[in-house]
Amino acid sequence: MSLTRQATLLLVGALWLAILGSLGLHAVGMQEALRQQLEVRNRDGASLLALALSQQGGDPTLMQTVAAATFDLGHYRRLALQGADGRVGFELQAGERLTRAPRWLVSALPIQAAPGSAQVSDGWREIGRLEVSAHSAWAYETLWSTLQRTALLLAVLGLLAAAVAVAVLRAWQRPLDVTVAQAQALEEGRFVIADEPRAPELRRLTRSMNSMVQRLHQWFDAQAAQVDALQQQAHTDAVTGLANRRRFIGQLDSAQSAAPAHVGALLMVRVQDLQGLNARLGHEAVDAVLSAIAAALQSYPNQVTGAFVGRLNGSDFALALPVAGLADETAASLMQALRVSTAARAGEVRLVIGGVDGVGSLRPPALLASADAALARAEAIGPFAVQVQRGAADSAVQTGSQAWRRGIEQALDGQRHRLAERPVRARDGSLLYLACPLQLQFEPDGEFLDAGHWMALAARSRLLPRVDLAAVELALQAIAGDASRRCVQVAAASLAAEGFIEQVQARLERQPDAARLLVLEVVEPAADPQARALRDAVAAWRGSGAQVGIEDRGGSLQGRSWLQSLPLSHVTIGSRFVAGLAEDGAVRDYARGLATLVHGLGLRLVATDIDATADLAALWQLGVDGACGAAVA
Amino acid sequence: MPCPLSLRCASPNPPRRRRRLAWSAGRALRAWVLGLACVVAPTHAWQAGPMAAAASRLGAPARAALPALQALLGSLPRAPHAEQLRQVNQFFNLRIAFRTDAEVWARDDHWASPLEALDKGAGDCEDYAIAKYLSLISGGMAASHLRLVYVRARLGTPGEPPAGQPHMVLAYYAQPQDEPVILDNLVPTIEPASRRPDLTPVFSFNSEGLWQGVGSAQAGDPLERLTRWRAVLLKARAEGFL
Repeated sequence: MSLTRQATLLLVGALWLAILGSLGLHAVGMQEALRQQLEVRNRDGASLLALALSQQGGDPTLMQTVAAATFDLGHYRRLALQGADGRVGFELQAGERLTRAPRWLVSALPIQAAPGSAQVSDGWREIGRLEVSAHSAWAYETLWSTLQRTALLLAVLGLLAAAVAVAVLRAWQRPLDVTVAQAQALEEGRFVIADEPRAPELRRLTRSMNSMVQRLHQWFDAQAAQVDALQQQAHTDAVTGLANRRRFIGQLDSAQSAAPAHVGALLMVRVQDLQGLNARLGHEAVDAVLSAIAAALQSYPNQVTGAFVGRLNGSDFALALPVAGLADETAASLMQALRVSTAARAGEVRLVIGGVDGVGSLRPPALLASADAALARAEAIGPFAVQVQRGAADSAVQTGSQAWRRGIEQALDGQRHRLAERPVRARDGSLLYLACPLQLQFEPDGEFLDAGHWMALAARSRLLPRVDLAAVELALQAIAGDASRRCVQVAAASLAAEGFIEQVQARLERQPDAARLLVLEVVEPAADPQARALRDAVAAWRGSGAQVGIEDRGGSLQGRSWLQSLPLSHVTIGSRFVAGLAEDGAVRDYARGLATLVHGLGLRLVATDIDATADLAALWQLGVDGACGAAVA
Repeated sequence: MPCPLSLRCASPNPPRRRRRLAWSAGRALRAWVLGLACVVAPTHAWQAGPMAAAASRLGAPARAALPALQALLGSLPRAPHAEQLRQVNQFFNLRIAFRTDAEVWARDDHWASPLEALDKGAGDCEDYAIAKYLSLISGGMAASHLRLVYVRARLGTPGEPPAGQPHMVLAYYAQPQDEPVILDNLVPTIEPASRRPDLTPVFSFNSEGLWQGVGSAQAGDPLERLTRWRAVLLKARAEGFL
């Protein structure tokens, strides 16, 4: 039985006991007082009447008259004169006068006073003994009315006391509930800090739990810092400090997937004949040259928001610009700067720049290939040549963005969409869930295209909420069909869209059984303002029965303290962050650190697009909970 | 004052009468206690210890009179009634001077216990009557023989109303219906009532029916102290009489 109920019962019991006890004591006290009163009346009555009878000269008639008068005019129940010889002289008795007091009261609390007695004499001669009993009916009525009044008063007081007690109990309940809620949150893997209640006992408890949570926060911060450092290590070029190829491509990818897409142009810088340079100048001098090139390139991210640089391989550097159309001037000024910075070192350094202006919807591989081609053409021309190629797709995109938008809308309106199914399996081969990316069919009877083709455009056209909603509906239908757990992705931008969270919740509540088997994966909600939207989404969707996970797109973990306090189901990490971990120790360390962090928070870690079996084996070794991709069956 | 419930519990076998249950039970209890008193109490009905203690509390005259009083009380049980009456009458008539309460106690009316009266060496008519009554009772005489009587006494003093003035005497009845003899402080001898035409009886009483036993339950009852007669009986009991 809950403490509150026990306390309530105890309180009610004690109040009842107090009320009944007081009432009982009062009743008994009154009974005694009334009895004493009656007894005094009996005695006094007897003395007075005996005195009166003694003045009648022993005349029986006179005596009886006096007695009758007294009896009739007074409150007497019995008058009796017993002669000296033992015989009864006369006896006057009243019938049993009914009192208004209930019968049970009369039998429970009898008021029985001893009759008064006195001697009656005539002159010197004793006539006999007089016994007088006064009536007790009025006494019972007094007793009854007093008891009723007292009971009423006690009942009112009792109710007041009960009301006060209930209020106090409820006031106690609140901090208790807060404490219990915190404990439950801890059980669910949500590490939250609660306000300390005022009651000392609860305060101590909350304080201990809070300090435990804080210790976890500290661990998380330390671990996140470590993982970030490992990530840096895995993704940074040692010599120049620029992003390495993997990281640069990843940045390219995420920049292109953002809404609106952040990549307008790509420039590549190549140091010609690096090996020869190494032989002639020595490694140190060459490293210095490379650092100088890096420094010159780094000025662009510093001045232009959205630009980022990387070192793709020993001799190749890349610079991504957010906006198209400026690549020519940028490339020219970059070449100037580079010539200046490298001329000081040695006149032996030969550079070429190639680039693509207008990225459009080219994915990183195609984009890099294009830029590479431009670089090759520049090399053919000669050292310090600059070759910038117009991205053919860009103009198509410029004029065709409207067409793309219309195309997406028509595909959605015409229900020309479907979900692909990619199984995510655990180490033992069991199916965790089916990852279901949405595919759109732009031409009727045409191909179903993956999100890679149209996601950036959908983002720019602000059609992501519609797309994600369609994916949720399709997934719910599919689950209703085969009762298999499925996962769909939801863009972070969709969360911010007005009404999106409620619309998804409505769909979930329409099919509660299917909702229970649905996992919604939110893609990289990085900055804090969106964490509020994420919190709302998690609360709403979990409330409807679904589960929520997130996809990590490589951002810093340190800012993501909400990871500790939200009841998520899993964290997904893409292959470009963990690919090659079988060979690359730095990547493996990063993956291990990430796994420790995620597991420490009680979440599962899932890796996607794992195509190499060696990578898969290494991931299982690190304790990753699920994987999906070509290497997985 | 014990409540009817406790009387019911205390008495061993209360006789079952409908409405007088409690009163009958009380009577039974008193009989039981009295019987007990006869078994465990000392053979005389007065107690020397409390008497001596009370006397020492009161003062030197009381202490001085105590041996004579105790000798008197000791001699009573063996003597015939007439001799008892004579002894007691003479004892108190000689040792107590007739004064009003106002003179003795500076109060309008005060019923003194025997020791108090002996201590003051003076008292009024009630004090004589009470002292003689209590001594005779303590000497073992049954209360049914004795009555304290309110009378009107025609002393013949100038200014006295024709009916007489209020007075109290002690009357002894050899048998209940007999003519009594009067023990009085106005007249030194004990005379039959017919030979006392100057006295007209108004009302009489004694302690019959009131508690006479050894139990002390009634000592603290405020009602008992409110009646003069019962109050003086309480005092007497505390002094070892009764």
